[in-house]
Amino acid sequence: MSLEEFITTVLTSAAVSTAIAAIIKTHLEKKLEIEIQEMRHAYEIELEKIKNELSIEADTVHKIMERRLNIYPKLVEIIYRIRNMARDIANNKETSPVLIDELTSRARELEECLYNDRMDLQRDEIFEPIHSFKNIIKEYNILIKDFNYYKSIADNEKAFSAYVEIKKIYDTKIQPLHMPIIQRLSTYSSNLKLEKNMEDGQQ
Amino acid sequence: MSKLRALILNSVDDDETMHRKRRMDESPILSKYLINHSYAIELSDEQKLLPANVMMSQIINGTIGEVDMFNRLKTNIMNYNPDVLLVHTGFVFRAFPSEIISVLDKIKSEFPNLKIGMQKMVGTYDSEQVANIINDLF
Repeated sequence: MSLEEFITTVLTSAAVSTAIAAIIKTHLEKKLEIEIQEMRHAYEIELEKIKNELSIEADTVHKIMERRLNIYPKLVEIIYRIRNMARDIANNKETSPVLIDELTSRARELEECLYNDRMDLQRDEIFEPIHSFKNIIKEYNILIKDFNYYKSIADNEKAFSAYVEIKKIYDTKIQPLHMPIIQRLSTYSSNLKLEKNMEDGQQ
Repeated sequence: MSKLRALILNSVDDDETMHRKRRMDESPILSKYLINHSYAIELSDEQKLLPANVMMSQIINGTIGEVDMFNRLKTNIMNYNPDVLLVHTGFVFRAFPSEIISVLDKIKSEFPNLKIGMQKMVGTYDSEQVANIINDLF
């Protein structure tokens, strides 16, 4: 092989190699560009999804808060009124029939709220303590009526036993249970998880 | 004058219900009635040990044995011979209204003279006729 031929071969080979390298480079760059575009697209879709989820979540939290503000103040009012009436009854040996009727009517109102607002109370894990409170008030109500009956027939011994029981139910159940319920229903927190004081209040 | 015999269909035989039952039994005001109790669901020993919220949630998320409930209620009615069956529309009724109404329909067919009063449901069965008793007992 002459020098000329050798140089031609080398140059040809170099040119072919450069051409092949350029083709491969272009191909890889295009492939990379496509992959980057696909990744960017996937990222944008994911970002949009997260934005939508956050927006739905914020909207849900807002709607839940709105529902709570519609429902819970009424419940707090009823429970607070019931507790005050129960306290007045426990502290007085003379109970007016009007007060007893009012307590009966408020207990029924509370029961109605439990039925109507079941979904919200269940979601916020506060249905059961209010349900228990309602049952205690119903029991308390029967006892007050018994107390008045025993007084009306002048059975002082049984009237006294009933009064002791009334005091006991108020001191050990109604008073300790009502405040944690009111605190839970009044909180601004969006996440009403069961708190320690609620469990303590039920003991 | 003989006392009116009332059979109350409660949700479950849990502690709270048994406590209220005892209170009713002891009440002189309610002594004008002869009261007996039946339960839509009888709790197992394990369920009786559960906290109330767990027990209630377990029942609400489960199923109700319609045939068992019907048979139990029918046996109670045959044994006790009540004048009126009073249905407490508590959490079990709220969770399984169609099943309980279906059982009550069958009971009404079997015992057409038995008055059935539903708490809070004035137009259902004989509730209007026995409204005063419902008012006294719930």
